[in-house]
Amino acid sequence: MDIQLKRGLLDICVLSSINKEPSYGYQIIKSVSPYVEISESTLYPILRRLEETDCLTVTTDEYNGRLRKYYHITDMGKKRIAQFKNEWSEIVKIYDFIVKEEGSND
Amino acid sequence: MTKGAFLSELHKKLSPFLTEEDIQKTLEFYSEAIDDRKEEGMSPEEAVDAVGTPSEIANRLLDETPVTKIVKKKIGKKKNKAVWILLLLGSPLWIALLLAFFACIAAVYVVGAALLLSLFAVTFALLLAFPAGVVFAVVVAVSGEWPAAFVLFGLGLCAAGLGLFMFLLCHPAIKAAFRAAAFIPKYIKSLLVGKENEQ
Repeated sequence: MDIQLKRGLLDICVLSSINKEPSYGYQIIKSVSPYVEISESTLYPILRRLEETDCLTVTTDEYNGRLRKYYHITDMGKKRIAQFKNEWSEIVKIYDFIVKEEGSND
Repeated sequence: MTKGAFLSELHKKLSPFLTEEDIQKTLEFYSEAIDDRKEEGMSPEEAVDAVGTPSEIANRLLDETPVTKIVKKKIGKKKNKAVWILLLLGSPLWIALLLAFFACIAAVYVVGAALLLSLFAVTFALLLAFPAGVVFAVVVAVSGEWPAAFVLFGLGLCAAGLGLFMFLLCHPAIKAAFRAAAFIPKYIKSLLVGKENEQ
């Protein structure tokens, strides 16, 4: 997928994966991977960026005798997901335009 | 690569550019990711391979890090009081040098813009020469000087031809100018970060 396109979508995907309940790094990758290619090296900068823009918070909890970081969504994060859903109809319009313009060249 | 080697390699690649705090957070994240994969049944080497290479990780992370953070880290390295005093004392010099540096960069942009504008002006003038040539040719023809009229008309045509050629040059010139303008800030950032490219 185009890098620029992917970048905006991945932020929302990551937020969605922690929307219902907090999650940790590897679990986020497992839940997003079926839909979009993502690895730790892509995920970590995204998590940092989302934390800096107050879309999520981080806690460190104990698990099986070691420490694990859990990511929790904030109200700001939920707002961003809602914003994306609202923008979806605009995205569909653009897609229709592209398909239409392509068709007229046949 | 073992987990220990991976983490120390990653630490080495990040330490010139990020604070120790940021680096520790990063190492914790990747250490956790490797442990989670090992728990799922991957071998230690597979787990380390799966999270990416230290170069890849460092490059992606530094791409996202704003220049200001990197500069802060490079300055903050020497928290020596003597160095700070020297910096303060020397500030008239390095502030002046910094201003001169940015003035030069601004000058480059201004010269570039001036060159571009000159190109447009010349193109426009040459293209205008054709209608001007026609008008003058007609005026001269009316007063009976046919040879002169033809010369004027011919000159007008030549100028218009040149003008059209320059017009064709304008578009690539604009594209090249914008690309050069975007290149300069990127170049400055890369001077600070100096990433190695593994291809």
